[in-house]
Amino acid sequence: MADWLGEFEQLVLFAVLHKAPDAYGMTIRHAIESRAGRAVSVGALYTTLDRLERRGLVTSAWGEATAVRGGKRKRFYALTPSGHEALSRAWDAVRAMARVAAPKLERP
Amino acid sequence: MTSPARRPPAFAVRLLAWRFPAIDAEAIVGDLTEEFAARVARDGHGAARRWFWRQALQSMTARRRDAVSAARRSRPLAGVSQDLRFGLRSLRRSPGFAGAAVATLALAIGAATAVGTAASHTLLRPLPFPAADRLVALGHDTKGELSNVGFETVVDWRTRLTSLDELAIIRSWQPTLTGDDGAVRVDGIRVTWNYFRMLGVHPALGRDFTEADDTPDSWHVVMLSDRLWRQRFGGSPAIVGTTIDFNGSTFTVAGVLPPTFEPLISGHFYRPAEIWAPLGYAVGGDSSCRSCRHLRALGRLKTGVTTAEARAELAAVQTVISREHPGAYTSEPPRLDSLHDTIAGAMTRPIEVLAAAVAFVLLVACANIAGLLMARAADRTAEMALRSALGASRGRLVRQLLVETAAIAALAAVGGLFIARAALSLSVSAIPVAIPRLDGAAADPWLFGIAAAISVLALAASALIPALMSSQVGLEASLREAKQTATRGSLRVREWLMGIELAAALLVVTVGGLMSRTVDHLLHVDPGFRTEGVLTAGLSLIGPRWAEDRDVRAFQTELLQRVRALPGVSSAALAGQIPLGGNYDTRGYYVIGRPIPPDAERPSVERYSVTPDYFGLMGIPLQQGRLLTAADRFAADPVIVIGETMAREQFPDQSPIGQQVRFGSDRNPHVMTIVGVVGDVRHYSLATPPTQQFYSTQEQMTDSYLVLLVKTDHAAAAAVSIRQALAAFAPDVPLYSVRPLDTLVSDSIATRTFLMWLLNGLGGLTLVLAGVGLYGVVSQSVAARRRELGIRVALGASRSSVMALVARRGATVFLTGSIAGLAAAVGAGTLIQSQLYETRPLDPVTIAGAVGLLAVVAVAAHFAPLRRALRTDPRETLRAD
Repeated sequence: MADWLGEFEQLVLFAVLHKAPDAYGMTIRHAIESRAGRAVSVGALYTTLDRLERRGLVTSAWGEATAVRGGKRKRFYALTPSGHEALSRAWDAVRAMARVAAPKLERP
Repeated sequence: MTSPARRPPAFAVRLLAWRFPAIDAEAIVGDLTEEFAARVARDGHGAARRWFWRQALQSMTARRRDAVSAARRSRPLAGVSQDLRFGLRSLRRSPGFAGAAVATLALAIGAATAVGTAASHTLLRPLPFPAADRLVALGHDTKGELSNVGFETVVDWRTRLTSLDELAIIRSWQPTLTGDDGAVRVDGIRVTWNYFRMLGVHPALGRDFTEADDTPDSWHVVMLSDRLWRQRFGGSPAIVGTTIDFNGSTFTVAGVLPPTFEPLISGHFYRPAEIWAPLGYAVGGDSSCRSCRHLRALGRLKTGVTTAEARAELAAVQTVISREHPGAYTSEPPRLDSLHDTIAGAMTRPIEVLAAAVAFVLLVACANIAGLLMARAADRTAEMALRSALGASRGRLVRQLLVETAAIAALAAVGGLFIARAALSLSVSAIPVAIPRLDGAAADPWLFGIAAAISVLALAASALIPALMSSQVGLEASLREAKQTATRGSLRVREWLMGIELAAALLVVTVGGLMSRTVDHLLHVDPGFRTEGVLTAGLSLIGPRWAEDRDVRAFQTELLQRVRALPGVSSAALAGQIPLGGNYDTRGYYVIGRPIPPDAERPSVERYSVTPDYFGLMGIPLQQGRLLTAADRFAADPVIVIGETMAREQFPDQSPIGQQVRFGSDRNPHVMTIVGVVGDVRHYSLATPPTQQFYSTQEQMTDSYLVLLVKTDHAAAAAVSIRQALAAFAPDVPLYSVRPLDTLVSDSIATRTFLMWLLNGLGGLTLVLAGVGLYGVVSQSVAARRRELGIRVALGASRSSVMALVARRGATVFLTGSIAGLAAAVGAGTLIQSQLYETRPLDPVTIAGAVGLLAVVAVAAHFAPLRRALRTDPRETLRAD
């Protein structure tokens, strides 16, 4: 697993982890928008989710179709074990770096 | 359920569905729809719609994901070349489809490119002179046309107009050059000395004309065209400053023009001039008067002056001049046009009509290709659904269709390019119409650009609808259902396309029909003379040798004697001008014994000075009095015979016989007695009603430019022996424009005939295309309903009810198409009204004929599919699906 995660990929994985088992497009996007304060286009989100799924970091499953969704089904996402591992590795890396650099970041 | 008003914007949904693979699109649209509903409740409908659109548009730019795009990131064109290979392979698998599509599109692109290039080459291209947009032509406005002016008028304009840098004058000139090969008439122009300076052209050799050259005593100076210089003078630079003899006089060669100089302007325009000499007029000269309107004025506007400003100044100046010279001017206002428009002139409207017609042909061809593509797309729904299920994105499938269409369009563009070049190079030599500046159109670099632009346009027009339609195919539906819904949806759109095609075909056919009626009417116009077996030839007797009328008369007598003696010649005559001959020799006159009108208000009459045999040879009938005879000699009482229009207009309630009229200027008056009335002839064109005419004898009014008329059964042999007979006794007299009289008649309607042939050709093409398209739609519709029809037949439906079922849709399409086409044809009819003759734009015969023709095509297109429907075997169809 040589892959590193991009910053947006990390945000998406955090959001999926946070919202599971109710992680689908809208909830994931809301989580990122409200927590990270980043506007996310639905297209960009699915592009990233697809890429993560192809890399085996998330899985998806179809939910039920509802009237409020115009008869379209929800697609639920969850982290796979390698997704878990990749995210914690990325988080470890950030934390290790932050431990030494964060003080300077706060007092420039 | 959400109410329709609460649904997210449908087109945005369509965009997302098109943009993303089916599998993503469902989740994406679902998410957005869910949040849309929440936002409607919170922010209101408008804000929610705006949000939805913003999301949809932002998502368009998100990088797409699928197997292909991953591959494409490393090799950007791999996907396209794969599509292209696949497309070409599938085209090769259906050569009928590919052949039909390429051929129809190539024809349409070829026609459109040819007409577009001709239009850009002749109408849009600036004249080949520096700052050509400042060049203008000036004159009087005679019935909406720019007409000639008199010398002293232009002199006054030149001194008073401030909006012009230069003002030059030209007149026609046909000198006779004699050389080793006998006498040849050359097209030339007499120009004021500033003419080349006005155009911005400098001689390649020698010097330009100077003011000192341009006087009645010093004008024997010439400028040669590069072509004439090389052909007749061996291309030697030593020619400059030497003298050459022609017209019995000596001329000094001032210079030679560069080979790039396009001699666009001559006496009547269009006929390229080869030799130029100064005008040599002076105020007070014989031909200089204000009513001596035989000159053309050309000018160059000052920088920054608009045509409209110059026009206004000219009008004001002419008002003053008219007041200063009462009686010298008619009420016709002065006129100033851009030189470009004057030269493009009469061909502008026909070319516009043709351009409109080919646009419609192109429309029909594109609609046809679109129809063919949609039929194919419907046939391939299963394939597409399968590929979509295997992970191909909708965009990818649409691109596949586009690439296939692009392959068709590219092949058609190449074919169209060849067709257009062939048509253009053929038309320069073969068409009987003088289209100014068409030369070289086949090599115009714009040709390629125009062909490419038209092809891209055709590609976009033919592929857009099928591509959008095919992206509607949903994966959620089963493969078979998909095929049926797609077929039904595409049929509806194809019926719309057919309606458009039928309307366009009807339009083009109707316009072609109107031109046919016009030409037919013109061919039945009685020109007033008989053309059968009459050969005509021009002669000019100019120079000091022919300065005396006596010598010219002696020549005439001898020529006629010698020509009559030739084998196969039954009679011969001479005339100063002949009807449809392109000369406009007219005289002002008044009737003796009535109040004398001022110069400008004297009626104008066409003058035909002829030898007595002319009437019999031309078959012009005597109506009153007597014809001219050999007894009406030079020394006898001067007499004339007048045409019936002149008799009717001048002598409505008295006999014209014995009345006297006076022609000519006050210095040189001719009083002549009317001895007879003959039938009118059409002089300007077959479409122009006759005006006043009179005939005198050559003995009494001798001309130096003559037309020889010969009645013979063997025109070709006679032409040779006449030339020999002339060379035997007058080698310095050129014989030119040898042609049968009936070619003058056909030439006079050549533009209309040409337009008629082209429009009818295009009409036929659109009819065939529409027929093929309709056949395709009907076949597809029958095929799609095979099961239903089979069941109906099985349940005992009669043949006529099955026929009615199939025909009903076709009839609806036909009717809507016809109504739309007729409405458009009414508009088109007014566009070509100026080309019509005794034919109204709403000519009922033409419209009925066009609709009838269209109906025949529509019925023919139904024939085979109907037969197939009637032969439907229920067992077979039920099993097939």
